[in-house]
Amino acid sequence: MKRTISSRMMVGVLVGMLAGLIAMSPSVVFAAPGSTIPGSVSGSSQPSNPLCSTTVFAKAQQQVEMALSGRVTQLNTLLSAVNDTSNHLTPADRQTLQDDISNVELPGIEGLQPQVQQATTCAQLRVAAHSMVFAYRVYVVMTPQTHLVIVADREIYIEGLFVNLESTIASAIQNAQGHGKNVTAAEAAYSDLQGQVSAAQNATNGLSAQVLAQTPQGAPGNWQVFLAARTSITNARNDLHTAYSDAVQVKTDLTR
Amino acid sequence: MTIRKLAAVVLSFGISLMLAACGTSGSSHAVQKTKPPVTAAPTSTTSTMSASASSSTLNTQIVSQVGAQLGELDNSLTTANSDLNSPRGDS
Repeated sequence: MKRTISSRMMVGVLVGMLAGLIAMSPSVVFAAPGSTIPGSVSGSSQPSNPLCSTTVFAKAQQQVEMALSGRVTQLNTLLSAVNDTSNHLTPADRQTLQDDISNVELPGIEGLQPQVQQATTCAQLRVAAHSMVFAYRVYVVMTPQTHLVIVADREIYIEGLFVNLESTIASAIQNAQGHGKNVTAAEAAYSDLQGQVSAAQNATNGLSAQVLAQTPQGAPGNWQVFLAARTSITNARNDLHTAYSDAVQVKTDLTR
Repeated sequence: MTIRKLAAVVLSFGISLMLAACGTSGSSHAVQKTKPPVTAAPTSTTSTMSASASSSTLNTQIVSQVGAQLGELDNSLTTANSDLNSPRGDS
């Protein structure tokens, strides 16, 4: 996956978006191979390649406009998810994500839209496309970052529910035992529940902060951070589901 | 002798009147005093009952709440997995 993502990024989005145009007309080369990496300053400051004809330029411009528009839609979707109070983001994490999306990403991408509309050369288009990709990383940083933090914070919230439940379960077991009930199975399930919740807490400890620390400039290296975070939240998810089964088990045992 | 008896009767009547008066006011205090325990007892019983009732209710509610949250968690995780398994675009 890393190789795929890295290599994709090396190719550069603008050239990628023009792939269809190039395929239509192999002789149309938007930029020399040396300057195909959108991150290269020299590439974006070079004059428009003479082969970027007026017709091709218009199509390229349209492609970049669509790419910007897609990012605006994506950012608004992310912002809606962040603003949704039912997802149990911590106030601090919600604020961080809101700031990133509303004050950095959206204004940045929206600021590029008039630039692209007003661009008259392939070089100008390349500068805007480069910025769109490398400065904001909407799909490979902002998106997984937002969704991973939402999951991690929801897990932390559920861990809190379990912690509250633990004392109730302990009392219920004690109460049942006081009434002469055999609580051996309930105690075993309760003990497992505590272990599972503890494991989930370890898996999610500091995870949101680590994911939130990732920036567009850290791509593509921070992809590994996201993959590791995914492993942690998946482990925590499994722990919490097992803990839930334990809780149901205790409840069943005590009501028999 | 008769005067003595009369005096004794008057005195005892007076005392009983006083006692009655005291008893009345005392009884009102007593009512007030006994009220709190009377109300306190049901309150205490109620709180004990609600505690034990809410224990089982709370138990069910929280377990159900956790179950619902785990369902939402799975949905969120699916979205996050989708981002990482098939990122949209290259950037």
